[in-house]
This record gives sequence, C-alpha cells and structure tokens, in this order.
Amino acid sequence: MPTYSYVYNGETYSVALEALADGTYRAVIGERAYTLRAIPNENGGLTLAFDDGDRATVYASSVSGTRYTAVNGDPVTFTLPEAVKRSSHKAHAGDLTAPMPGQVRDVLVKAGDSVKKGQTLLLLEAMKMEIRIAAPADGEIQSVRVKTGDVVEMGQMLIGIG
Amino acid sequence: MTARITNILIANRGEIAVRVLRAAHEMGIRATAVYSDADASARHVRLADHAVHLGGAAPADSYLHIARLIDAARASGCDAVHPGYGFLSESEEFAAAVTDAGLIWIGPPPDAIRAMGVKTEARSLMERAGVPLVPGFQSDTATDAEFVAAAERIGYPVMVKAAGGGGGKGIRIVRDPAELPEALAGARREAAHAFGDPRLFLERYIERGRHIEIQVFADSHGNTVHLFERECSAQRRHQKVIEESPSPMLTPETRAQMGAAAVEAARAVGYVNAGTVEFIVTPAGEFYFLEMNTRLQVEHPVTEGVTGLDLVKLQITTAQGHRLPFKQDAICQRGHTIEARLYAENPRLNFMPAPGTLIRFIAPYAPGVRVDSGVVSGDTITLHYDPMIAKIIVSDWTRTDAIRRLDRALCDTVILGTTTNREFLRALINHPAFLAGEVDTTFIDSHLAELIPPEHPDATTLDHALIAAALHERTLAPSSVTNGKAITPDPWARADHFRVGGE
Repeated sequence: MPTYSYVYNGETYSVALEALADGTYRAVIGERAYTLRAIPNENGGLTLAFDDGDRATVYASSVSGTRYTAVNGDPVTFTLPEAVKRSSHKAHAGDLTAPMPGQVRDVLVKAGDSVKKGQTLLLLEAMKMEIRIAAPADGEIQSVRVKTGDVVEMGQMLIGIG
Repeated sequence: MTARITNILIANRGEIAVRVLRAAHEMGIRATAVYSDADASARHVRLADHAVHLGGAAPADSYLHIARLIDAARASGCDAVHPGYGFLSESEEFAAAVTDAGLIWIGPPPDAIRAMGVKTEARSLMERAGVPLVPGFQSDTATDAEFVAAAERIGYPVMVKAAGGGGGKGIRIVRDPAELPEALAGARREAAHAFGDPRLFLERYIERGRHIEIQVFADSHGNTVHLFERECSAQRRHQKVIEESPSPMLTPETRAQMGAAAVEAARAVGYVNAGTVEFIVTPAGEFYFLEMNTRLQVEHPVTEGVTGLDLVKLQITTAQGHRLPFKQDAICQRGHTIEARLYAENPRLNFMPAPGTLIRFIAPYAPGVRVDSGVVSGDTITLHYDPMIAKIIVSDWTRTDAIRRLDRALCDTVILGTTTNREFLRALINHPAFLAGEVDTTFIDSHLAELIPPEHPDATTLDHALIAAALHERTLAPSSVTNGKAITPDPWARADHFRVGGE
C-alpha cells in the first residue's frame, strides 16, 4: 500500500493510502483506519466523505518540499521528511537572521563594533512595518552580510555576533 | 457646471484599485490602471481597460511618483484621477497637480486636504469651528524639553502623534515621563520616513476610548451630509482590524451630535466629496475630534452596507459637479454591517508580515457576504506593500446575526501558501467582550493571549489534513501509486475548476 510521510511540528506521520476497486479509499494513520470517498467540489477542493457519515472539506497544494492543506478552512502545513533534512543545518548561535522577508532600511553597526544587549543593530522593513534587529547579548560584531536597501528572505543571515 | 468623466486613471493598486475600477465600469467609464514592477500582472492591472507602467516596486518610484502619474493620465487620454486610499490620496500636491493638468480630481479640494492634512492645523481649525478637541499641545518649534513640560500640563498618559500623519504611524503612548524623550525620537523618525514630515504633537490619551468615525459627503453646491458612524475600536497597535456600523455603544442622541459635529468640521474646511471625521469617545459617551481623513477609507464598505449607497460612484458623480441625489433625512442606517481585514501575517509570531504566493485563495460566497480583494489564487502578496489579502464584509439585520455570518464567512475562507490572521479574526469576533460590544481601542493589545489561536489542530483535523496531503501526493507522482493495478481515477484531477452553476 503506498505510504506517504509528512513532518508536522517535529513529528513524522505516515499515511498509508489505498485506492479500492469500488472507488473508495482506505487510509491508515498509526492505529487509526479510515474508509472514505473523495468528492471533488467546484473550487478544486475535495469533500472527504467518511463511511461513518462525517464530512470534511479539504484543499491541498504543494511548493517543493512543503505541503499546504486546509481542513474546513483551517490551515495545516507539512514538510516532507527529506526537506526537513535539507534545512536542518541551522545558523550558528551568534547569527542574527531575518525574522521576515523584507528590505534592510538601515544598518547601524559595522564589523568590529562592540555592542550591548538590546542595542539596535539593523532596521528591517516590510509591508509598512519596521522591525528592529537587536543584539541578543553583549558582544562584538563579527560580520555584516547586508547593506541598506537589500531585499532579504526570511531566515537569511544578516549579522554575525560573537 | 458639470463635466462628463469618460476615462479615470486609478492612481493606486490592490483591492481599492479593483473597487474603483468596478465602479467606473458600472458607470460606463474607462478604467486606466497604473503599476510598478512588482505589480505587472496584478489583478487591478488585469481588469483594467488600459494599464501604464510607472517604475520600480518602491512606492517612491511608482505609486508616489506624481510626475509619472500625470504623464500616464495624459498619455492614456484620461480626464479624471481617483487616488484610492494611502499613497497620494491625501497629497495636496498631487491633487493640485491633477487639477493643474486639466484633469478632474475625484476627491476633496487641495485646500481642504491641506487644512486637515497637518493635524496640528486641523486642531486649530476645529477649535474655531466649535468641534470638541482632546486637550493637547502643538508647536512646530518646540524642543524636547518643551514637549516634556507640556506633557506635564496635559497629564499622563499622553499620546505622541505625527503632525503630518495618519493610519497609526508614528503614534506612541507614554505613561512614564522618563520614556517621553525616546518616544519623541522614535515617533519623529517614523513620521519623517512615512510622511516626510518629522513634526509631532501631543494629546491626552483617553483611557478605554472608543474609535468612532463619521462618514461625511459633500457636493460642490453647498450640500453636506453625514452617512452615520463606523466603530473601529478593534485595533491592534492603532491599526484597524474590524469595523462595524452601527456602533454598539452609541445612543441615538450622541450619534446625532457626532453627525452634526462632523458636518460642521467638513463645512469649516469647504469640504467636497467623501471624507471621514474620526472621534475618540469616552466610556461616558463624550466625544472628541481626532482627525479628518480627506479620502475614501478602507472601511467604506461598512457604510455602503448600512446605507445602501455606493460611495465610489457617488464620488465620481460629485466630482463631475452633480448635486448629491438626497438630503440628510432621506438617508437611514439599516441593519448591521461588519468588515474584517484579512492580512498575510502571523499572529503567533507577533503579527510578523507573511508575504508569499497565495497558491489557493477561496473567498466566501453566501447571502449578505461581500469580498473586496486585489488578489486571486496564484497572486502574490509582496513585501513592498501592505499585507492585506481581502476585506470580508457582511450585512445582516442584527449585530449578533452579522457576527455569526462573518464567522461562517471566515470559516469558508481558504488560503494556502501563506499564513494569515483568519483564525485570529475568528477568535476576536467570538470573544465575549466583542460579542457584548465592549471592545475599546486597547482591548486587542491587552487581551492578545486570549486571541492568539491554538498553534496545533486537534487530532481529527490533523488526520484529515494528512489524508488531504496524501490524496494530493497521488497527483504529483501518479505512476508510483498505482502499483500496476486498476487505476482509480484521481479525485483531484477530476476536480473541475470551471464548472459553472454547480450541480
């Protein structure tokens, strides 16, 4: 039976999904088994019609290793196990990364500067909102990887501090 | 004197550009869109009759570039300009440039924009017009020390506000005198960046205040009316989240007094076209003038819901020189309308903006539900502009019914591809304080923990999501899941996106 694995909140879940001859599906997740029909709706979603009579409207789509779903509108996002591995080499403890995609509005420090905990190092702006990137502890700026005007992705390395 | 408008340049983007475009089309008027590099295939550009590229994604290179906008209007044969909200909508300079180019400005006269635009001057004018004002201090030349001394006289807490501002930018509430100098510096920087005007003023901060605004409308023949109130007290960091009409707290007497005061405020500056007079209302029902927004508001559909008027079409006919087609006593406030602003942001990460591509965006469709949006499935919420995905506006006979209808509409709203405030909005409108009509402007910020939705779904929802993902997976790699047996038709592949009418 084809089995698919997804990571949610650090845990891996496996779904065994079998298409039966009568047009229904059998899904097994851990010790729970479901029998259901999947009825397409007019918006490209599916009504999951379970054999106990319960219904849920679901949507799903994917971008590379991410799976976006919605159950009765409530979003649940999964990552494929191989995609989790790819992104697991995390930044160093002293690396400050962008908490959101945005544009660097101002860089207030340079490599070699001594900074105090809480000191504003960089201003990031997105969608009319300004975010202050502050020093998490006293230390010295090791590197500044961006300049004013740069557009940065979420998680992109901004400043190294040691 | 009346003029006939045949082709409107819409100097904006997103949902408001789509809104104006729709009104123009209904009136048989051509709609000319403008766009930045980031918006080349945006919805407002797709729906327009004609579109002109302005420049780079940065607003200064595109939607704030007056010369390019005027050139675009001329080159496209436009005879009028609608500024929408935000961007240049309250720019006296832009309004004057439009008029000087021989085009009709669909908005108030430049003089009225100027009078109300500098908040400190507006306060002085309103004082003379007899409109009640919050105690405050204003001076273009005051030093920080003078601001500190003034704050002592006014009494803490005080609000630091931008003289050239609006939309919550540059505002700081200061409770401790020691924090005032830093608040002044921060507000000054934000104001200089956002409005190009670093001047500040102080106002006493009204505790447990309610933000209630009056929509006004004036024609160029001396007729000024109000279109009742919108309550916008559900704010997060001074940004409106939910707006509704009628206000659950106003008495008929206060409503009438506020309406009359708003009409006086508009008359005092020779106002023409749509405008909004904002008031702060104390728990005891005293109201004070805050500011006048000399443009169409984001939340104008709330007024449209309870009055049955189309404010954008009314703006266009008024700009053509026509009289308002009604008198004050012909307008009534009927039923209840609520608007929720759906944003691409993450409430669990301090409402961090969450720009991204809307892989799927399914808007609710039901009786009494209206959705104003600048995006559809496949469009992107870019980091260059505000993170609004849609305004969901519902109308029903009572407030309770309207809240339930909004909750269902939010349930039916599906967004895949980015994080939104959908669940936060549902938590807010279902909170006992909101249901009781007791939300003041500080409510969201002080009750945030109760409004942040649970991070994880329940076990059943998670299983259903896993099944949805697995069914989706079959469409991505069909050969690997058939096992060489009889192929069951793939349910997602059978989904017909273009079915009309439904069976």
